[in-house]
Amino acid sequence: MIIELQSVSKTFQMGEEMIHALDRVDLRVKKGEFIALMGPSGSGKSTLANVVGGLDVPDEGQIMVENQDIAKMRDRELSQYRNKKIGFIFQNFNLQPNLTALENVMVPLLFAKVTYNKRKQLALECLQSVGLEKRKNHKPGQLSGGERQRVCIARALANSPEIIIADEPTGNLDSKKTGEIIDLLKNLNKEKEITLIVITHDPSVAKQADRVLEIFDGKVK
Amino acid sequence: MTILAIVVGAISVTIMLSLVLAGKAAFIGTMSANGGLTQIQVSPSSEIEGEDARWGGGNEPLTDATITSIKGISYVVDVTPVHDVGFSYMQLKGESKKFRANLSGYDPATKVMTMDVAAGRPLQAGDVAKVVVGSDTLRNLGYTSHPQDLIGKTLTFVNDPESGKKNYVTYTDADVTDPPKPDEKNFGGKEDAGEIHTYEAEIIGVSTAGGNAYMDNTSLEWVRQLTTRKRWDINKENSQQWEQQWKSLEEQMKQYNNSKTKMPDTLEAQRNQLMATQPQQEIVHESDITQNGYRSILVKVDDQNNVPAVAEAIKQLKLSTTTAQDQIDEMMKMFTIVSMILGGIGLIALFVAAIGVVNTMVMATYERTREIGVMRACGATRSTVRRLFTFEAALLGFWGGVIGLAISYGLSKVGNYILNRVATAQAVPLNNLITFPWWLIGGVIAFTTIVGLLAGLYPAIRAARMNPVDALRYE
Repeated sequence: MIIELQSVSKTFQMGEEMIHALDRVDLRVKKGEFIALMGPSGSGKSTLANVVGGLDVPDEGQIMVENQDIAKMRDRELSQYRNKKIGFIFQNFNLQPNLTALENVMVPLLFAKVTYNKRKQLALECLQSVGLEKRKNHKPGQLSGGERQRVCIARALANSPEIIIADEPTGNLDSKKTGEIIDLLKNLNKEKEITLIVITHDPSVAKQADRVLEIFDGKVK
Repeated sequence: MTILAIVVGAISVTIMLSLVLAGKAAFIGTMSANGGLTQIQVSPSSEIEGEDARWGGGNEPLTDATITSIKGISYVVDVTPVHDVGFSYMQLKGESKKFRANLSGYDPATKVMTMDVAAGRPLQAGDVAKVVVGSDTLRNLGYTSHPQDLIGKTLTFVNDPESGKKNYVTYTDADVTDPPKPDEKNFGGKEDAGEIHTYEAEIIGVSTAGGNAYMDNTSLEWVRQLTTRKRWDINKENSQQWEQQWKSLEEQMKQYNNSKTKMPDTLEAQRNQLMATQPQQEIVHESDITQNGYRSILVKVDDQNNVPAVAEAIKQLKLSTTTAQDQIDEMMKMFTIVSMILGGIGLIALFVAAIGVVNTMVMATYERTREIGVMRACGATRSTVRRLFTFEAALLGFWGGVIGLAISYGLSKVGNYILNRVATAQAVPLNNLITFPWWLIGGVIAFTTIVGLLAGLYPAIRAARMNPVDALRYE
């Protein structure tokens, strides 16, 4: 068991209302599992991904990742956790427009305090694993949507994470590209045993997962 | 661009400080012209000591004996007395325009003055009725651009009792053919009758601008001649007895005048007899220098570093000294004040720039919100984000300083070029006055970098505090 959530809750205040984004969630994820998270907007799927990824901290409960409770971690530890264990992929890519593909992939390595030459080398390997080494010196503006997302995947792989969390990774792509990206992610999942958590609206994507979790009003089914 | 604000701030601080430095250099330049830095000006002590204080007098005059004692001081190269004479006005011969006239005389045979000339030659031993004009007179006469045309022309110095300039002592020849009556003391000779006297001198040189800009120089010998009064008087040595009798008669006459009674006949007869037997009057020469001493003494010291010691030794002789260093020290105080004010203004400019930087960087952090979110998602800690932004701001400051200095350097080259052209036209010893010493360069860059860093601190802290989740969702 790589990830274990116990009675995790998170509430937000929106004006007068208290929103229960996560309501006493219990969850277990095995190492190397491909999980799809589905649910209507505002159901808390992003929040769930965020707390598992250490981007956000729950108000209550425990999150055990490799026998460490990340719910209790302070910023420094949590940042390290994100850096080493997690790879994030976003719907709108979030690449630095003034950096090349290679430089974008090098960013997490910079925060891991890897030396320059090593950073370059590792980043190149990541680009190779997504088949984009030929475009390494191109800036995001010169790349297609599918290529951009592949750069994002390469970036997520930079520090050899245990878990990849993808929030609607194919939301901005057409069906062909969607297929390519999901295939790529599946390969990484199987070959490198990287636990994959994908938030999606797309049933065809969800179909490819090992397990589909549905979230509704902060509760997981 | 934010960097522009810092560049402008850097330029203003740099230029102001270098202008002050230029001013200092120019001042020292004028002081060191004509050997000023190794000269000491000596005047009678302004302190009045002891009994003399009650009577309000008693400053020892400067005499040749004084000169001898000063010469004996170590490190003294040579000494010259200096004496001045004033006139009602002067004119270039043949022209009608009148100018203020003052002549300062020194002994060219001594090695004290090293006069730099823009045209003609300096004074030499034996010169009489020769003048080296200063740059102020040069300008008044209208020969600034062609000083060499003044050489050989004649300056006429005029004493006119009616001219209204009564503050100058006038010394003239007595009328040899008309000795006055015994009870007429004829001081000043014909001038009292309102006659005008003129003296002519040849312009042999024009001095470069500098400490002597306002002085026209001539030889001490000529000044001695000009300040020697000739008048009719009884030769006192030959007529002591007669003088005594006349004096006692005068005292007795005074008593009667005070009580307003008529003199007795015996007294009057005595008076008539004395007048009849008055010794012959002669033309008597009274030299202002012999009676009152030299106006001042100029001392030449072998090396700038020995000046304070020599000045001290001269003060021990109960004399007053002024050195170039004293004047420089006074000026330096003023310069320090001025540079603090200007530096303060420059600092304010930089401060305003810094505020501009803060503002722009805060806006930049808004624009980079998503980027910050991604950084955090990739594992950057808050302090990493803060350090990144602070470093960027410091770099901005650094480049702002470098660019500002580069532009200032360019401006200074232009400024120096202009100054040099103006200066040579005026025969002024200024060369490449605007300089950038290393400490100015290093200081400005260090300062702008720190300003950048401090300005970036607040935006950096804001960026670091951003919630990653919100940041990633930012539109």
